[in-house]
Amino acid sequence: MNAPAELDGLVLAAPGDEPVGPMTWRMPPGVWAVLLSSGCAAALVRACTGTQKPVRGRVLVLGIDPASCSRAERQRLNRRCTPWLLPPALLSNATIRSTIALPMRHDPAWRQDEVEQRVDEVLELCGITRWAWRRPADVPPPARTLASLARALGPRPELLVTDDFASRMDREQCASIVSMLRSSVPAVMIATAVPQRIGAAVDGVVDPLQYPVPEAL
Amino acid sequence: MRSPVARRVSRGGAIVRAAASRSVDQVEWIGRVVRSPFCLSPGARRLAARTVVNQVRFTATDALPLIGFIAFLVGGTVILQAYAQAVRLGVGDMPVRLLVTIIVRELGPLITALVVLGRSGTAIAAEMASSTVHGETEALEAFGVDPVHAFVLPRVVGLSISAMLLTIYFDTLAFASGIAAARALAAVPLALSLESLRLVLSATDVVVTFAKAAVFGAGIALICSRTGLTVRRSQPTEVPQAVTAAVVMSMLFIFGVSAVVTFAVYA
Repeated sequence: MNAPAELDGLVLAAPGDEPVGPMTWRMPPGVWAVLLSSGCAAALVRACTGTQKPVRGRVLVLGIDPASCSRAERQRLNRRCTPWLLPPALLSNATIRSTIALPMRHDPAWRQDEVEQRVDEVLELCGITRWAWRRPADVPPPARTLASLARALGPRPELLVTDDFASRMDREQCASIVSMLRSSVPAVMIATAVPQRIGAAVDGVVDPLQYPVPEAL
Repeated sequence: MRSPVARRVSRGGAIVRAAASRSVDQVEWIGRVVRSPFCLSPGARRLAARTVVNQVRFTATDALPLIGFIAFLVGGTVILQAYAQAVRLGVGDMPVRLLVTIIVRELGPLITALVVLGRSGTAIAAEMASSTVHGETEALEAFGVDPVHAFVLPRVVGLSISAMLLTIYFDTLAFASGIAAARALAAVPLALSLESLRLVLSATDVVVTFAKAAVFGAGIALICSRTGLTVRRSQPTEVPQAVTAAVVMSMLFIFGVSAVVTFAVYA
């Protein structure tokens, strides 16, 4: 059984900083959530989605190296492993609803009625139904963050890779998000610099990376 | 220590290599756009069709007053200039012939393309660049959506259709204005003007004109999208630079293609 995610001597370029790594780590198969204490959450999410190439080493996501596979293979992989991006990077000239629906509309596996139904579900799950027909500029920042999560949950991913949401939320909000993720996604890799904020809410493996030095759990 | 000659050769080689690499990228990019209609899922196809309709509305429908005004002025001006020469040379139907030659073959598609570039090409370049700067393009890729499918293809089709429609509109209004000017200046009967038009205007003229308009529209969309999408993430200062570069490259493309087509078909 493939590990959902595996880092093999991974060195990542952090913007305006020294490269981070090398990181070697394996997310055990069958666990629900794993916490990584890492100062390079955004770069790690990008490496997992194949939008940033590692400086050295490789990352395997669902058994596939996104940096070395073809564009078509990466597109298929990105439908199975979705990122919760922060900042949300929602489409500025589309409504929240259209932005959430877009990845599913471009996936031949989804029928139109299924897309509409799924979008309604994730909007409700994330509590942002009232903002569905607004553009991101007309939506408050917390709702934009949740819209980004709804977009990641939409395609029913096998693995959800999250940027450092914990550093933007307090312990209660983190607990509510973790509880929502628990009911929605089979595996989650949470990259965060403040694992203590969500550690208590997660009953999966809490496995801090040894680089950079993790904060005390 | 290398000799100055070797350094120059090496620098020249680096320039050639970079240019070749850029050319390969451009060809690969165009190939991706050409292939993209065949890779769309039914849902994405519906979405692209809706975007094409919106693009035609913004580019063609909203530009009708401006194009109409320019066509009116150009048609009248050409006849005015041609009439002065015709009187001097004693050639009665020359103004109408000139109208066909200049408007249909050259000015119609050219002026329309410049208006499309000024109104929509710049908007596309700015939109793409700003999407890239804010990470929206990267986010699309992270969700398995090719930006070429979501952003570029509908704009290429939309601008191509719009440029053709606007050229038809421009030519029609320019003719109407020119014929009205001919009638006012030289009392040329309407029937005579229309007969001259029928005799001078060939099927080749019409086909070449509309093909040229379609190529201009597609080229503007391709160049502006490509330039906008190649800015670096989180570098907002590159947005205006990308728009300027897109306009300059598109103008070179428009005038270049126009000259090549004229030489190939009419020389």
